[in-house]
Amino acid sequence: MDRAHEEYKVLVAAYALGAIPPHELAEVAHHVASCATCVEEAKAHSGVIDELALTVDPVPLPVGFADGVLALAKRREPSPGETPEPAGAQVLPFRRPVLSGVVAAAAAAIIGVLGAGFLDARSDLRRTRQVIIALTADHGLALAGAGGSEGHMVPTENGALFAAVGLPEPPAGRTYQLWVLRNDQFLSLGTFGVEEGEAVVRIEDPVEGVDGMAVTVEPEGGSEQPSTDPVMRSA
Amino acid sequence: MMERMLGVDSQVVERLQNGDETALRETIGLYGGVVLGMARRILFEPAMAEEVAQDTFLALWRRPGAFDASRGSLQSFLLGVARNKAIDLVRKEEARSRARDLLMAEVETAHTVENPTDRSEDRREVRDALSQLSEVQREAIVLAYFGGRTYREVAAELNIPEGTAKTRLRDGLIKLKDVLDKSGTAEI
Repeated sequence: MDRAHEEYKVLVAAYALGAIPPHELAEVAHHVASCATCVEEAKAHSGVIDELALTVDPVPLPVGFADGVLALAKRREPSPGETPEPAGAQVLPFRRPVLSGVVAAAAAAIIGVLGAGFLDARSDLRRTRQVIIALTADHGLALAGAGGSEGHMVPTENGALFAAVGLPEPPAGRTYQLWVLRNDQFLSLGTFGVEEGEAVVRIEDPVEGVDGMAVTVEPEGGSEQPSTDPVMRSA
Repeated sequence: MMERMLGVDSQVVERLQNGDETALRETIGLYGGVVLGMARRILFEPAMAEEVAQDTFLALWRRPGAFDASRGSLQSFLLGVARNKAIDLVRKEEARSRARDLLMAEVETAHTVENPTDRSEDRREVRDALSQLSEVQREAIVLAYFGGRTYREVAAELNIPEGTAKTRLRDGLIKLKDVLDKSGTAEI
């Protein structure tokens, strides 16, 4: 389905409100991101939409609410036994070189989404992540991990974008770290966290010609080389 | 005033990043009421709204770095997180959304709660601006924003063509911006 510009334009308000049905979201986002007129309109709508939150009246918190949140925060923190032990630097068994060339259509759309300033509005951050995940799915270099987690890295003009779904919160004091393998050397692309199992990482270094990619759990701040088995990696 | 608030927000988040539980208590004390208010506005069951509010602060505790003071206030961030979580529950059919008449009544009913962090003056201005929309525009926007309805669901619920629903959302937002621009309400 490919609507005419006028049809998309009248959908921009619904898009900014998060009122596009999920199965139409990627298509509409793709148009909005690639259309200067729609980007401007969406920016204007987003500023107004943030103001709508101000109409909410505060509600008195139940007695013990803060205690309850703190108790949950402590209870859900993993015990020391659940924290992965560093396994020492290791070579990950990537089997074949992957990733060549730019996936043009997906990359262009992603660049448009990221470049569209309206998506920086607070209420749009989550939707931005979901749009990028939708746009990167089935493109670029695919990674898979336990529990059905999966990720994709799509090259862009100035680097790449990595999007992942299905990743659990890392243990306390740990973070996810993204790696590429190039000429038998692991290079860190940085650390990242997840929100509701999802992550989007913007990579500013060129990623052409990499032999593989992996995600490991590392101490907060990251490691110089992978110190644990990958939780997700390319084939 | 706003710059000072953003500075305070940044300091709170820095303390959260250092695992300061007092900072979390303070944040809940400042913003818990509006966060729960947002969840209650969207969800029918008060208990589920409370869970959403708890989850919102847990999310901040676990990933304080997700908040970026350069993009807006901590209150705005928390309200956005709470709204997303509540609407997710509605869309996954794990919770009931509030009915249209309740949503409309709450948007139109003004309350004044004295609290220096509530920005109650801004709230009044936004409410006044909403009241200047036509009823059909306001209804469409409230259903989409607080009801979590898609434009197709707005059309079905109001028994109007989908094209009309899209137009009401668009025209309503354009008019709202116009009114707010004239009243000079600052961005969050």
